[in-house]
Amino acid sequence: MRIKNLSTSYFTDDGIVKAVYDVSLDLSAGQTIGIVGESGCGKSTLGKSIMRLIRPPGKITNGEIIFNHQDILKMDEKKIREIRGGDIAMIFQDPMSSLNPVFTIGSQIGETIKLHQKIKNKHELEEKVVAILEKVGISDALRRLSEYPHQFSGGMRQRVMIAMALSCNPKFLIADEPTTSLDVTIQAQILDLIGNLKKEFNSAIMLITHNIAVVAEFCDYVAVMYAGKIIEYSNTHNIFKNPKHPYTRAILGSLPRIDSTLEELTTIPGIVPSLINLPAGCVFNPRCSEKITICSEINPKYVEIEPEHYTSCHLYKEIKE
Amino acid sequence: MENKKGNAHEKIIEKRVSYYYTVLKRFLKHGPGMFGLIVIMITLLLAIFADDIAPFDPYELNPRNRFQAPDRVHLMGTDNLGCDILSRIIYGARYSMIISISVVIISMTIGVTLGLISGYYGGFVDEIVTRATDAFMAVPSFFIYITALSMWDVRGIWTITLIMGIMMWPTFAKVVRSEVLSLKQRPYVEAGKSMGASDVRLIMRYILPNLFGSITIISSFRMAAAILTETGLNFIGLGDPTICSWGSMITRAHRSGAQLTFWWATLFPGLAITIVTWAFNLFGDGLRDALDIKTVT
Repeated sequence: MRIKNLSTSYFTDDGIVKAVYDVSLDLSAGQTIGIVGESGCGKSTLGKSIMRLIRPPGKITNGEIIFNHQDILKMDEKKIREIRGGDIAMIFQDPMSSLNPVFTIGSQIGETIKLHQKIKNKHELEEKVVAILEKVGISDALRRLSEYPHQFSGGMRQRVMIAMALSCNPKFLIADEPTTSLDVTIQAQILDLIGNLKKEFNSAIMLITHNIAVVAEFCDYVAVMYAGKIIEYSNTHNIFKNPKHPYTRAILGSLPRIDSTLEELTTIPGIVPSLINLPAGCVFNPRCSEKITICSEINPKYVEIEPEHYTSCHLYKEIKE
Repeated sequence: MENKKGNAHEKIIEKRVSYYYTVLKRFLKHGPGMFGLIVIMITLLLAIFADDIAPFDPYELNPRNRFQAPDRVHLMGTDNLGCDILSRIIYGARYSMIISISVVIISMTIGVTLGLISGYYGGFVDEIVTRATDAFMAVPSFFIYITALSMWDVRGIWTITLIMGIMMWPTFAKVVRSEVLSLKQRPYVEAGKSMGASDVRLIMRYILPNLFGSITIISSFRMAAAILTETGLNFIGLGDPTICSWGSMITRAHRSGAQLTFWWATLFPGLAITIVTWAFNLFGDGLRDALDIKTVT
């Protein structure tokens, strides 16, 4: 999977919201990438753009998403439908409302399998659904098939969503804050589940979250987003031990530490700028503690500053290959 | 697959009732709604078994028995041609039901289809459907009925039904469209799309089934409206005079000068119309209360 210069904007009455701007990412099978950032910085829009789920007034304005040597953005409707839920699946943020309330769990999971794997035999289909439900840890799966979403708890529904997303063994899984609305114990279970499936099918996973701790534990690579742009990208070790961009440093600095005796939490002053009126120069410059003159004038390029470590900040120089 | 462990925590969360079971239970407790349902059921039974229930032939003329006051033989008296009013009301139930059910089916089919398409796809199609809906609703329907029905040479029950069906779709289209606008934003529709569902599948499996409640409610109210409209058309002379619907009974009684002297000729069919339309409205109200998801949980 290779994303190149992807831009997605929402054309609202108040102006053009550049939710994702010039984002490039590479990800290969078996890898997990964490996308982190504050609310409203374009994380979810990035995920939906990959699935081509952007609805008007939103529009993907530029870029390429190469998946299996094909550009997703150039596919026709029929082709993209085959990919959605087949090769690329997505787990949504809110398990409470992401299931169709009028059909049973069994028929909803079965529908996806039927759609992508062309299994007609009812019995075989049911066996498949039971197997996948058991895999995501739903006990008494056979009986639960005929139940409706409202009979499930939040954690169970998220498991059902994951079961649905995994039912066709996707090569690429986008998990959009899969654990945000769940309590901590369930969070751990759900993440374990996603992790196991990565091992089993060697899928690539994109984990969208604000939870830095989850990223540290779970991801191989991290992309930090700010105001629609990726401002730093590297492997997890680099990001946590050797963060470069002042924003990444500020995020990590604002995490409470168990071994510190600070009275107050460290915060980043200011708020994410409106995506309609982005500040001139570097998007982060109004809030940056290490700002230099050039920051408010020229937008820094997104460059490789160390092997496997990219950032867009005037403080660092591109390494020459 | 025997796995009976199921820890205690899970048991508490489990609610072993389906959504429609909850709705049914709530409806059964809804007094007025149940009253409406019972009246509707009785009317339907009368309509279906009219041949067995009616004491007399509703079309049998008996000039010597004109305008007979209610007594033991003719419980509701007779009309200007000596026909038994009770029998005519029972047969009238049949025609009123056939007409209003057909009208609702026709208008529901047109309205729901257009509402789904315009709400889901939006844009140009939506613009056209919305304008058409507004246009239909803005013009007083009776003028169109009068114009349309006067142009027809043969004014049978089916012509009337067809025109009423065509005239009544905007309510369905309007309600369905606005519900689709909100339903298509629901996360599960997006989730369905992310699983590879096509537009048709999204509409048929993710949106339409969730409209079931509203469509039933509007249908119930439209049934009442159809009965009233049919009566009205009859009264201004645009009904089918050969059948005995409740509307034609009132018209006939009025034309023959029954008025207050022979009050039974107008009162009983009038009561039938009032009670049945009222019942449909109560039924719709009860259904709306029972289906109100906000208060279910």
